Amino acid sequence: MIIEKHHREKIKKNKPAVLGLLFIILLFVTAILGPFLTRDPNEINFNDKNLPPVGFSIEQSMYNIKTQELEVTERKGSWEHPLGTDDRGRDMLAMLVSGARVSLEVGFLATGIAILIGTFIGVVSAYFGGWLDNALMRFTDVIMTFPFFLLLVLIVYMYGPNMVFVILAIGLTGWTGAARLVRSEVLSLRTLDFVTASKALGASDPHIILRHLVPNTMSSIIVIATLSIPGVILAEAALSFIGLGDPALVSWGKVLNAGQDSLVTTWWVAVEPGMILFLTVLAFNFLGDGLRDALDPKSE
Amino acid sequence: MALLEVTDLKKYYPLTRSFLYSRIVGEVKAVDGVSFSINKGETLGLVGESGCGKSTLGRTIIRLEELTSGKIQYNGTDISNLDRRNLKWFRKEAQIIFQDTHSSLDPRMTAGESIGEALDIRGIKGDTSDVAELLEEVGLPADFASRYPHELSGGQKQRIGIARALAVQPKLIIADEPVSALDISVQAQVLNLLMDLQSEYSLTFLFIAHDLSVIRHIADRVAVMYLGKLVEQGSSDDVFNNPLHPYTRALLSAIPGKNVERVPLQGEVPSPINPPRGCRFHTRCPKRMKVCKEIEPQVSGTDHMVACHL
Amino acid sequence: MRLTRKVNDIVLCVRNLRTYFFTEKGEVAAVDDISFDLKRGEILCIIGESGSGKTATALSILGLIDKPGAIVSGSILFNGTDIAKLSEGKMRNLRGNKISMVFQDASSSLNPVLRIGEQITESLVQHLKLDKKQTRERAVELLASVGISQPEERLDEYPHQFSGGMKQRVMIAMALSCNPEVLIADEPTTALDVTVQAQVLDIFKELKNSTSVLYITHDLGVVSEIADRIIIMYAGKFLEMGDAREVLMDPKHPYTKGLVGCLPSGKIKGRLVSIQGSIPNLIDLPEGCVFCPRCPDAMEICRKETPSETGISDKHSVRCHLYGST
Repeated sequence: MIIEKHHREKIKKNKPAVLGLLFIILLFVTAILGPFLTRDPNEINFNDKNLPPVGFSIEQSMYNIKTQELEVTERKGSWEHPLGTDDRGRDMLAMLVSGARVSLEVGFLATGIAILIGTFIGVVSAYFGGWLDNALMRFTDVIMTFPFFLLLVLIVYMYGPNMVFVILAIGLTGWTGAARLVRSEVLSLRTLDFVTASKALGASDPHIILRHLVPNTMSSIIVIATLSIPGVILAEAALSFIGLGDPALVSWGKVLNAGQDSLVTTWWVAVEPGMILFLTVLAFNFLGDGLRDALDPKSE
Repeated sequence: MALLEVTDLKKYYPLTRSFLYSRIVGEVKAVDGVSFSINKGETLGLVGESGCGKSTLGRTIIRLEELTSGKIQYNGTDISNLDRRNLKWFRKEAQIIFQDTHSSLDPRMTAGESIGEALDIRGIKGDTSDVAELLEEVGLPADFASRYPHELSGGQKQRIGIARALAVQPKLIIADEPVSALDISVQAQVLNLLMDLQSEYSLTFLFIAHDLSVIRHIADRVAVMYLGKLVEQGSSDDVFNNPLHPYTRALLSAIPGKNVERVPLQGEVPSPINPPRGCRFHTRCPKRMKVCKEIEPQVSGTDHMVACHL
Repeated sequence: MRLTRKVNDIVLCVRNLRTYFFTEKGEVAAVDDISFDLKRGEILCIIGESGSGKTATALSILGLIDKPGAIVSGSILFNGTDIAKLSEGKMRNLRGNKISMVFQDASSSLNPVLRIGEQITESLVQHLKLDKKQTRERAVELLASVGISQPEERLDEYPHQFSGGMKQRVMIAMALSCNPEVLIADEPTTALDVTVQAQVLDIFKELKNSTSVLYITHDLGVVSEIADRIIIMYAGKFLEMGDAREVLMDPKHPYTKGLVGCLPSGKIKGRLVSIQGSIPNLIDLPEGCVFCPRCPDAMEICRKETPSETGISDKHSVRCHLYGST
């Protein structure tokens, strides 16, 4: 209903958007099935530490206690650890797969909360106007200036780090953009004749809002949501990077953090999560742009 | 008995200047004291140029806008101040059709859903066969119910709008420039449709338009509006064959293609925020006299009414 | 069946113009084999409903057809040169200068952040290369010529301070600023009130002897008020053409007859004679005569062959099998 046939056709023609969508689907599948197929990301194995990915080899110098010499050995990647290991021997592939799940969870849940709050406030503000509109928009301004980062630090300080806090912090402060966009759309929608027609039939306000206003802003909402998700994922990665994330969970940010010191030697520990973050953000952005172009009513 | 009787209706829009709180700095006097009545089965044509307030008048009459003062009587009942709950019965009695076919239908709903919604809102039980019947009434095949507005032409969209209005079986229909945006051949079809429906269901129309030829064709009585007031009212024949007010005469003479001596009007239409003192039309009237600048003319006449000092 | 005319009597000569739009859903023949002459000093009206191709014809003449459309074949002779084949640079010299255009919606044609004076003088500066003082004088002259009072003061105002009718008059003044030979007007009065429309039509009538006008409209009333000759277009094709009075008094093509009959005139009450059916989808045109599916006088041959032009008189021709010699 929202994404109709002619929209789907338009999207199909947009190759980057299609590629983005495929990547995201792949990511989903990986996140759901991956943990069953890979090793335990928390398994520590000092023997296998710092292994490069398959196909690469690296020279490492290790101090041999027995001979008291620096030995230079060549270590090769193997299919046992296709993407290599970190300095504690944890399998990179397993960690990335686990991280995918975390990122997608945070991405969708936090965005979901933000969109719900934003849409509700935007619609109510625009439809009823007057002092309510004023009050809600000033409230929105306040929230916009609120640094969710500090909020999270505060909560972590009080209750310890937890993924739920991350999701709530991002969701409860990230709805302002959506609220403004939805509000401006509803402001122009509510003067259209089909809304007047419903009023002339005696429709109640909830009916008009749910039956007419929200469906007509749905395409914008979908686009806003799709384009917000990468920001949320990056925010979570940033938080984990500095250690505010949930220590029990493996996330891309955490792995990045671990790899930042040894970029020259064991470069894969930082480059791999970096790449995957980059591709994920790109994929959502391509899809979001494609959706926006396809659903834009002006282009119909 | 008059189906609709309007007495001294006024609709003002406040102009606000807001800093921290809103202050009223003036008013747009969109409708400034309008009185008329329409009998059952009749079509009253409301004619005027842009900004005269005819659209606002139409919407205020069916209480889509709150009136500032005055009285609206429908079938003997005073509906001027009824609140939403008490107006529910009226919503089945009076409906409106719009000018802009692009915005009159929800683009996310099929034609059938738009018509069905009308039945739903007013709690009338209906199913696809009822929708099909309504489509047939307006001359469209039943399978149009599954079409979206962007798949329909202007004329077809207008018919769906009419079907939606008819769904609740109203007695009064406000037609707000229903054919102005349509091609000539489609205009003729829709006008014929409206006239057919009128005779079949004894509908009463308030037909708002700026095209005088259309009004002349379809209206029994005509009211000419200028800057929020009615300057002349009467039967279609009377007003068109014997226009009394200078503004009416100017309008009629301006219709292109008729070999009538043009009555030129000076200047521009004044703003409804600050209408001229005395007779509103005096700033542009070719026949203005001294008294016109001071005193507002009273309405004179019984059947063919006019507000002019002449 | 045209009489030969003196060459310098004809300002614009369009021959077999075809402008097609190549869309994903198919080919749209927006203008399909249109030919006409615009004589010096006359007002030629193109009449048509939506989809008739009237705007596309005007844009083709000015070279303003953008992708996915293009002029596919035909010639547009302006003072001897085929402007259909001119480069963009040379077309730009002509636009606003020798051939100018007025559009329907004056509000969106004017830049809201620039003063009126700046906008009028834009083409003066570009084409005529006048200096500041000269352009200002000329601008005042122009505003006065289209009936705007106190032109000196109004030059420094912004578009939002003008009413709809005044904006349209400013557009006409801009179009006339360089004394063009041809003025194309695309439904300039459709959005205006009837009294304002009358004033604007007066301006067009006064142009008669200095500028030739190609006036596009769907309003037969306007046509009978100002047109010397008319062309009736339908779905990209021309159906009837000739002297305005003759065609309107004695329409030959069933479509023209239908259009004239559609108009509420107040004299005959009751049902209007309407044309059954609706305007065809240009992607899916029927074979044969394009009006056939709606024509009350359709014959067998109409379904198969496109009619060619037949002359009714030396001032009136029509494309219809009812009159063609088969």
